Amino acid sequence: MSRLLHGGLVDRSLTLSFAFDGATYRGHPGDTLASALLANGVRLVGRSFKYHRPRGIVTAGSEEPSALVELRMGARREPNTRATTVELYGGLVAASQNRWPSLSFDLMSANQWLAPILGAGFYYKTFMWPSALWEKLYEPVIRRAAGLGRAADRPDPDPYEKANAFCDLLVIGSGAAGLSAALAAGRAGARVILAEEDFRLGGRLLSEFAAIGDGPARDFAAAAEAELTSLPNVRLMARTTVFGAYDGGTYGAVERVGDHLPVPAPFAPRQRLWRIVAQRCVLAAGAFDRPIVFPGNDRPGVMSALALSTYATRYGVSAGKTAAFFVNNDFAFAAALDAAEAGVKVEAIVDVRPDPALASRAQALGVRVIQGEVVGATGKQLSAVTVRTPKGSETLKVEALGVSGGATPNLNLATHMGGRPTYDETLCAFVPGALPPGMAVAGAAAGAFPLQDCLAGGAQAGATAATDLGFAVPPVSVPRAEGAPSGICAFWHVAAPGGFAFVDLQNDVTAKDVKLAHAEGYRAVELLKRYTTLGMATDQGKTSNMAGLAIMAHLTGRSIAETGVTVFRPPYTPVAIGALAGHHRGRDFKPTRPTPTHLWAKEQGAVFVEAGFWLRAQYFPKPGETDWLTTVNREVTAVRERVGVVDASTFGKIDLQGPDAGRFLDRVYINTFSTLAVGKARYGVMLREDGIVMDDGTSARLADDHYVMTTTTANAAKVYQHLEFCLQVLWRDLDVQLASITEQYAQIALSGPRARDVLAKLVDRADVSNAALPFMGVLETSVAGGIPARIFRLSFSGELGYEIAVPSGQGEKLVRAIMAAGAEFGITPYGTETLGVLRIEKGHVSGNELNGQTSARDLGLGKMASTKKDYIGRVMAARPAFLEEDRPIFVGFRPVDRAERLRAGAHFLPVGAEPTLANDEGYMSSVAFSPTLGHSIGLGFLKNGLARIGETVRAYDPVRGGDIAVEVCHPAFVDPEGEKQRG
Amino acid sequence: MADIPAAIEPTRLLPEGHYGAPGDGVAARLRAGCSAATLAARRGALPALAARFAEAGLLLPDGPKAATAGGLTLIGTGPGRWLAFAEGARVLPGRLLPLAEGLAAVTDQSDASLLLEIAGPKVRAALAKGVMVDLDPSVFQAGDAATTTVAHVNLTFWRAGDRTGDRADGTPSYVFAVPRSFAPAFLRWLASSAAEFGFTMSGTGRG
Repeated sequence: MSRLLHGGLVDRSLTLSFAFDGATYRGHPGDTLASALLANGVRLVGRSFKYHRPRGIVTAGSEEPSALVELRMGARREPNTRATTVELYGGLVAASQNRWPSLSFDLMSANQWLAPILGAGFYYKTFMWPSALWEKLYEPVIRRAAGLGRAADRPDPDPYEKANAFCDLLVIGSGAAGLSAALAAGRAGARVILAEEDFRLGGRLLSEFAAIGDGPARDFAAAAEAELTSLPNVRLMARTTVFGAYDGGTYGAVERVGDHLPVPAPFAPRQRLWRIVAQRCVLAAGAFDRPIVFPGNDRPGVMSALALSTYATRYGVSAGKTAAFFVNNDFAFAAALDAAEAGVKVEAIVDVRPDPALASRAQALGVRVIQGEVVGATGKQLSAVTVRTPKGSETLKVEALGVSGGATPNLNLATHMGGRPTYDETLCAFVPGALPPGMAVAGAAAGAFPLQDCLAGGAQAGATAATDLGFAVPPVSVPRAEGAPSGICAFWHVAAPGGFAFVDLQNDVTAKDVKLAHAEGYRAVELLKRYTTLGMATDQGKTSNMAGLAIMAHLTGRSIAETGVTVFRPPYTPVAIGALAGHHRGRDFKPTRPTPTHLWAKEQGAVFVEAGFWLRAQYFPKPGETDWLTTVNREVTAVRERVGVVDASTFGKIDLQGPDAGRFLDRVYINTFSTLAVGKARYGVMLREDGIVMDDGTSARLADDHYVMTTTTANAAKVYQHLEFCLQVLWRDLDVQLASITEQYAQIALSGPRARDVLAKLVDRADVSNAALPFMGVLETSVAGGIPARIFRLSFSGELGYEIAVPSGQGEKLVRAIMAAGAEFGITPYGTETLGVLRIEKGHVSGNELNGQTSARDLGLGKMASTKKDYIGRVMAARPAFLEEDRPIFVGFRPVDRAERLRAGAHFLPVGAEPTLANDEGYMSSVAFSPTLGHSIGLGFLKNGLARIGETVRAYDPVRGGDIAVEVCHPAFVDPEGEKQRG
Repeated sequence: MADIPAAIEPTRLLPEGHYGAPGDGVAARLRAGCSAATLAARRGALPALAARFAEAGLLLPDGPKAATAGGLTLIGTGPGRWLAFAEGARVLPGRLLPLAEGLAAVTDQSDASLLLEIAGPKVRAALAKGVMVDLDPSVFQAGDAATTTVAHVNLTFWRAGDRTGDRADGTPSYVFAVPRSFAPAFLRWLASSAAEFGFTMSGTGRG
């Protein structure tokens, strides 16, 4: 056991049992998985990404590059979870990853002997050819060898959710600076959110034996937390990581609501994704302790100096029986002394500086100080380090080595909107440059490292934010703090012979790889990153970037400032996809919109199909019908011979009123509507600005200044938006008022030779004879005992047809009345499949033809276009390519051998021509089996199609092995003269 | 949040009953028997329209506000546009037509939306899971309205314009006008979001 006899913020009165790689261990509440593993003497926790080298715990926070484990089991298994951030709970199960057959003996560690060929850029060099082997051999092999944990192979059983929060000030981080900022703004009455990724507030204050005011730093943190809790305008959010800064003062955050529990509490999510909108933000995220690169610096037991100290001071754990430190700065020196004070057996502090400021304190504590450099580390788990001093070489037998190359301000969020950090030579660190609007940075994140500066800077930032927002801020009193001095000597890399000297532990990038990148010309930091993978993956190089670019700076002879630094993008730490989805998964992935007749259709045994958000009846199978085609053939025949009913409520419906409504329609449709008589409807086509058809539908005139428009189901929202754009931006002079009435009306279509007979029974009083309600006529009346209705005599099927619009709450009543009235005529409900067959038989275009590539001329609708007015798309539709004789034009097709089946997507070739792109003459857009004709029929686009009716071409479909002769014909297979719909 | 509606068809309204944790954190009631219409001012007619409404003792709010007078609630949904609700079937659009004559377009929307009253001590915490509007009482006050998107559903909601907007116990109450075909999806989201506080649904039938 490595638990120290006393100290730390763990609750030693309670014991929690947990398992790692099948063995059972014990820890305490307040432990992380990492601290509990170290307390149990477990130092080897994983294998590295590329070389499968044994790895241990390196940090005590979310910047951890190395100690990644699989947490939980089965459907709850989470790969690549940082042991340093996992809050220990009773029954926790974790496993090491990326090893086989076991963590201790990993056969893939043979990879390290292949290091000469696995260095930077090995993908690009080694697997050049034969390129055919990429998919079959190289990629699978590489993917198996490299990589991290395994994702769960079953759906996550736990819920996730999203939430929105708003505040005057968002404070990110709860160390000295964050607490001070929150207190200053909170006391002034501002709405403050304080987000802390740890489960305990306090940041570094929890790990340092510094004094604030008259007491320990920890007491200050506790008192600040108590005061903030008492303020109703302050919200404390522990276990919450702010992962991204976005436009408009918006921040993304993940709250780990139930991650510290075996399963989330009842009705509570595992995680909650927050969208926080803040007027101001204070980034007080602290700093990272960065490594020094030296041979063997990845041995389990080599870790960050501040982490080694934190394990001792906060968790009461010694990371090894004996320890040493290797530092270049006073913070880490002070942390080493804290560790010694906490009870860690510190053999020596190796400092590259000749005269560290705290040397006398070390002497008082009996800790030896050596001026020198660690040049080697040995042991599969660290057992000794070699120190080079001005006097010679010395070996220290230690199980833990705390290394610190200085503090790297945690400014990641400050760069999310593109701000470039700037290099401060005195601090040996990049500090924030241009900040996202509304953000200030305080404390160590700003490079203000001394504790007193953190307290003062935080308070100042909080007060400034509150003052800016108009709050009266009481005078801020900053307590006096005694922290470590902030001396540092730039030192990045120990030049010494020996094995691997790692720059980036997560990606197995070594100092040699950086040299290789330099030698091969990848010297800019962005190229260095991409060529070597330095700074990529889940840790974004939080600890490794600095040493990597310092080595590159050294190699190029430039300063670090000249070398520059890469910036970060969200998320700051990995975010589960489940959290991003929230409520919207499974059946709630998107809203399901039932049609007004849904319940009735379900009673009829309908099979449903998703159409956007809508759920529509696809077909209505009857008992004994074993396949959908049988059903659809019956439905089509019923419509052609008798009468059918279909719910068309999903069409977009738009109410247009105002004196200029007619003029407006003239400008958005290619044809004219201002001359349409009241009580009449007309089919219209509208173009995009580029001349391509956007949508089609009918518009009816109810009064001089009142029209109703229908759009296709798919384009309902798009057309409404387009019309709003036209009125609000293009033609503000037009007096037209729009209202979407898609939800207000159910619209039921009756089709077939007996449609009028059914309608006559349905209307309360109106005359629906051919004379009173002719084709394209409109009638406002009441049906089925007083339901107000608009009846449009329209036909999509080519049969005598009516569409009846009633308030949507009456839709179900209407369809039941229609079925009752139509029973004696053999009325048949039909769905979207039959709707499709009917329109293909009639040669009407639909979504397959209005596909964003076709002009009105292509669709055979060119003659509708008015030449007497301007309209959207007119100029661009006259571009030469649109008018070429050879352009594919809408026509019909039937198989020469009527028994053959047509396939949509087939391309047309001249008979006997080679199937090459040069010979391509167009494509089939829609096909159906026509029960009316007894064979397969198709619609499509063929070069100069209208002039080629009667010709035979080849329908070539290599994807599905189709290659048949088809005859070009008129697209209207049924009733081309339109007599049925007018009768 | 929890998978409460797993057994409930996504096409139907959430049946009456209690969902989630014990307690009365949030309650939703489907308000029946209302009629509704949209009102859109003709070009340049806004001052005249406002004057005509004022003469009739009605309030035509300016901006995203809800105002109730004379049994008519008008909610600003855009410049020169309102959504109107009245108690009683078929009251609207008829009552608006004479007021709007020549000055505004009136469109019947009585069947377009379902009105849901959502209230309770935890209503803000539950709504925050989808409503991207600051509901803090210092910001979103009685009489404030918003036309926004909640869980992929475009809708309008408001805190009623007088004191009756809040419950007797001082907890806030909101009215949501949810497009009819989206109402089942909206209620699934609401029930999931309110489950941890205890959620009661009423007015939708037993199912």
